[in-house]
Amino acid sequence: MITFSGLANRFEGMINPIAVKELRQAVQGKFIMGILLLFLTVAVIILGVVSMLYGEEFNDFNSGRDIFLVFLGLLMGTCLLFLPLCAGVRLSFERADNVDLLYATTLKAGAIIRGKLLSSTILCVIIYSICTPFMTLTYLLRGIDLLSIFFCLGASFLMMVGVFQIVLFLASLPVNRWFKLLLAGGVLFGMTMLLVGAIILAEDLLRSGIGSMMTTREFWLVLGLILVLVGMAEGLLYVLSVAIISPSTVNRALPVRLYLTSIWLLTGAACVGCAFYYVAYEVIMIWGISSLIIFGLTLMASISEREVLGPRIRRSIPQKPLRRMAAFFFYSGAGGGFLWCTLILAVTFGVMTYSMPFFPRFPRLGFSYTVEALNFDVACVLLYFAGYALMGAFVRRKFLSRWFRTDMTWGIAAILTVIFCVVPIVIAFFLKVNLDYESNYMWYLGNPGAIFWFSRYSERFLIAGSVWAGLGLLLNLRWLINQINQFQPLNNHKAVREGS
Amino acid sequence: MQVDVVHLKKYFGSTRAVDDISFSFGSGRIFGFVGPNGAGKTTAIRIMATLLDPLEGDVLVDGISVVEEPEKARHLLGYMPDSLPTHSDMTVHDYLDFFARAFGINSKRRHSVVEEVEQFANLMQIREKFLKALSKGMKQRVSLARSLVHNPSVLIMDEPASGLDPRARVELRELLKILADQGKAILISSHILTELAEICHGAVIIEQGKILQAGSIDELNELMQQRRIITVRPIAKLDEMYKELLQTPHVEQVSYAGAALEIETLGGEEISSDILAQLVKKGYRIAEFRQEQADLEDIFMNLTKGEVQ
Repeated sequence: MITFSGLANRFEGMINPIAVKELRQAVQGKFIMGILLLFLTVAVIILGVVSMLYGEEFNDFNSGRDIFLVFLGLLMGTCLLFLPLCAGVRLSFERADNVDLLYATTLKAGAIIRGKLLSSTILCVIIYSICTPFMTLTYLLRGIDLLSIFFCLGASFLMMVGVFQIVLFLASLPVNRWFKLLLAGGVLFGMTMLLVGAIILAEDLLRSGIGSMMTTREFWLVLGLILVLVGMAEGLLYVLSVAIISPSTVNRALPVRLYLTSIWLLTGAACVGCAFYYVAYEVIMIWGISSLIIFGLTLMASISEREVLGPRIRRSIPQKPLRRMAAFFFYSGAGGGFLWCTLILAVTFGVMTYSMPFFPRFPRLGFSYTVEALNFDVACVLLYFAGYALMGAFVRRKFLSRWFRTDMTWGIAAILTVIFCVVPIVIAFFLKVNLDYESNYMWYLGNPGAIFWFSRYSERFLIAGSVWAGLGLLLNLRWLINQINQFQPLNNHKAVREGS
Repeated sequence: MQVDVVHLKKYFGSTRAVDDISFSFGSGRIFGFVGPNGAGKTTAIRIMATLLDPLEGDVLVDGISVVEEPEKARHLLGYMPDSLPTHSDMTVHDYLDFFARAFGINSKRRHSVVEEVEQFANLMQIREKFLKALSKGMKQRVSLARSLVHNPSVLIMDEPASGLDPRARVELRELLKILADQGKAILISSHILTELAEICHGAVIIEQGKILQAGSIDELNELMQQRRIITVRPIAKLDEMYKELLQTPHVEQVSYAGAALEIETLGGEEISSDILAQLVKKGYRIAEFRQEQADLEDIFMNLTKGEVQ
């Protein structure tokens, strides 16, 4: 008895405080009870209506499947609309009102997000556990088997958990009330689309017969791949949420950059291995292109990071030069972030290019569009990206620092991109230049995507991209060197001495 | 237990919210942190509570730096913000239990700890009530209980008395006295100076991020003795006396206060005595002559200009 009590105490101590709080709030707010009653009422009404309408046809070959799909729609609709909304809105309000209090405790930002995710998942388990028996009873009717029922329930449950993490990420974003409302509208629309898509997919799978698919190797391969990809995306959203709600005094970039670097390395190693094993360059291409897109976007976010490190972060900078050099890439800071992204982009591009001679054949991308051309175009787009990011940083720092904080650099870079894409075309319009002629490509030289339309002049676009990126680097060189030089550890109590 | 604020600086752009402030306070003492709105009190307090990073300087709680070891420091610090608890759909007990869990207090101790703070803050009667059903005074008590749940040695309170009715203020004062007697070091920020004057052992007066004056209440009073206000009420010839006083040495300022005059002087009791002797010698018949006892509010009003950045 004593051992049991000790174990119970130990277990209770391990439970995430945020999860306990959230569950208590949910129960005391009568939210869950309300949802369950609503679900059961609607389910009984629908079942009654269907029974009356079907009558004798209730014994046809599809009745079990049809009723299961109705129940599944109801269950997913209930969970998709209410649970994420509840978790998201609560986190959003706490972010606005009193998150400081959480930081004054010994709770970590990660524990806050994990607690929110856990509580939403537990609420989802409660609702599912109540509904599963009803849904399993559809097996007694025709057109569905137990394996399919459990597969659909399991898959939909995993989808719910994924949606909870997405909503928690969106709720963590530090945006104003109007943007939050806009986000909530977007989430609601997205949920509806997801619900409709999931039901259509479930119907398709049930019609095809999930049981028979499960015996094939491809089914498990595809399922495994989807789970791994979704898991990686969810992991990224988790570390991003943690970074966003972490206090600005800590090294927020570290978990995000470590996670992205690990995923990039792991997937890279796996894809290169697979490509060589199956002699299929496509695998490297898919990995490369997705990495370039992800890190191209991360480049914009990284350039918007802080330029001055606080004493708490500086005190954790390693003393030894080699370790400090490595740490520079993983510490919050625009300079480190830019170099980290650039390095990964360069290595990815290098792998894509230098692995080509090892493959005898390449996938066909179009009538005359080769893999080499694609790699060339992608390199060009990346140069444009780097150029605009660096120009954005320069313009903000030199001319707009009074009005725009560092975290708005990406916005300035985006505005510059739009300006350089649109203004030449407007000028060309007034000069009555016929933009339909391919030879007038120069009016599009500011547009990073235009290289895909003017493949004949891709070298010119590459030159323009290189000049743009080079100019950006030149204008920011001093700043970048300063960032590297300033990345020095703060001696203990130096701050105190400075002030005395 | 000693808290040392050492050359603390925090700027927001061109605004110097906290500009090189240093002071100390210790166990069993209540220290007032006084300043007009926008003086930098909340910023300094948030740095002490590990919620903000200083630009320079440090806060050492018993030698533990809030900048270097914020997690360790949080175990020693109880922070009561100026905002009230917002978890409206939680009961008082669940709210306190949550924060006890958040501080990692294990379940064996947690029940007794939460009950103790509930008893201390006189919340036993309302522990099952939802936070939304509580008055502001009650919520302040819950907030105080929350900041005490991990038994911190230092209590940092940001405007705890604002918006409270007189009864709630008296109750809060009594609770703070008990906590100081228990050996806790308490820093309390406020601009309601009458609150602080009665319970504080010392005070820091801050304006525009800089310390204007700091010390024990006695030291501050002593400082004020140099600048005193004398009220003189003659039986007649008020205007004549007004003109006379304006030409009297050591008199800084003279103003009408109904049928009396308020004289601001620089100097000790001898100067007051000289002024009285001179007025009598000139033939004025004095009905009333008294020196005002300077309190924290006078010190504050004298030192601050009410300017914000």
